[in-house]
Amino acid sequence: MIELLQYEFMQRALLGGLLIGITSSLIGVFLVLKRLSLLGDSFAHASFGGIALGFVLGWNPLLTAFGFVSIASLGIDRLINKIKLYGESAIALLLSFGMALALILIGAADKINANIFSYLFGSLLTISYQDIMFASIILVLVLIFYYFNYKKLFYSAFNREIALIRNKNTKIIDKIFILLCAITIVISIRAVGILLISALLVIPSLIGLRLSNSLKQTLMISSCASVLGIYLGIFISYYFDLPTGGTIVMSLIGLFLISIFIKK
Amino acid sequence: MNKKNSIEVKNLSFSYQEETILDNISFSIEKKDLVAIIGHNGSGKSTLVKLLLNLLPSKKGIIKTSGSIAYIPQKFNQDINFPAKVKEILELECCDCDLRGDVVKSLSIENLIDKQFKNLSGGQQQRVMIALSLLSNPNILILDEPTVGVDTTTQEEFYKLLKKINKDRDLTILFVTHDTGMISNYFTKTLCVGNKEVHIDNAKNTNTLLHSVYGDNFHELHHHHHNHEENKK
Repeated sequence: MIELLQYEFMQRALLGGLLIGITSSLIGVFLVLKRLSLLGDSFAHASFGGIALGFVLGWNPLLTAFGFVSIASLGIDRLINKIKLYGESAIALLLSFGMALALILIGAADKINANIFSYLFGSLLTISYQDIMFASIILVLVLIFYYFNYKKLFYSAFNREIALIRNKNTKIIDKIFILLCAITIVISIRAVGILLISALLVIPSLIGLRLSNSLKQTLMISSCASVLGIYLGIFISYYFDLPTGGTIVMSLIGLFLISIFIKK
Repeated sequence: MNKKNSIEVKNLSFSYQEETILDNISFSIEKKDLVAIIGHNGSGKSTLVKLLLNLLPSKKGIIKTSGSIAYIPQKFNQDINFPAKVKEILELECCDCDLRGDVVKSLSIENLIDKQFKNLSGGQQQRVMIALSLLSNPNILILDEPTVGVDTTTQEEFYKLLKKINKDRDLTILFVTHDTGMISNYFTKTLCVGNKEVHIDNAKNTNTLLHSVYGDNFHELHHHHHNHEENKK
């Protein structure tokens, strides 16, 4: 075990897992409370379009995905609030658009290497220092945002109608939250891949919601559960030579089942 | 604005997708009034409330209010399983204030402070929502049918509580309701929305008011509560 920790790739994976685990669960709790769990899936699929675009244009795929998903997050807000689409329909629209764009781009450009498919399934063990830097910046941004706007976020999740009356900038806070959600998802793709991203956002939150007595506790327990699940996944996948993304999600589901037994 | 008044509305009109909901209405509500807002479904009650709360854009006319407004939405719009302690919720409006102070005492929720919101009964959750709104020290409180789906005893306790808050805190209260049977017992004024217009009268004259706005159709509104026998005749 100690020997394992001496490998540089393992140190990177653990550090990346810690950063991504905390960020995604902080965002995930409010996504779940705002009934927007599926938005994560939608952004993840949209980001696949962005990643493919990056590959075709020869740009950094994750950075291209950041830009692409940020624009998509504003687009989805317009579709729901201005064009009055149902929330889940807008989410489905964005999801299909991102996936379709990716498939067309991959098909059209022969030179795309097989590397792009690693984004579908995630590979925390191959996370780069650059990715870790992105993940740290995003965690810091989320923490700063929560530090200054925790009550407003809380109010908006508790009752948006009252929040809109009491805080004039509720709408802006909600928009920034969605934007942070979008960039968190892009970096979380590194851990579990596009196809399993919802797990990282939703399962730790469900564990937190089961075991806690307050919202603050929910955030803390979710973060811990998320990091624990990721670490279990990393070690199990390493020892048994299994895909990391899938193993992380299975570990999180295992923790969720345990949380059901702890608090029936 | 007249100093006696808490709300003044002048020549207010509102249309939604080319359909006029409220057409050039004017009315005023005095300070400390306890007003029941009634009207058929779709008559524009909720629109009026949202206009008063400044939640709807593109209106014509003038709305003046003295001081701040607090709002308690319909029970169904509240996540009753929200995973927070009552204390955390009240702290949304109470940064440095005493959570064991006046508001909490007058609503008898001192012993609920450390409990989880989702574990409270419907009536207790309502009292927490009222406490939250009162902690913002409003001059006007607007409630949108908070008693829908609550049993009769709890409803009556709720009306008594509103009357007490209205007296103790000199608060103007507007209460959207379908329950017209109890208005004269607890409220001072009735505001009836119908035919794109608004009429206000003393709460004692609610039935006459309903007749003048809706003619013989007023039973449609009336039959929701209390008067099933009357309707059968």
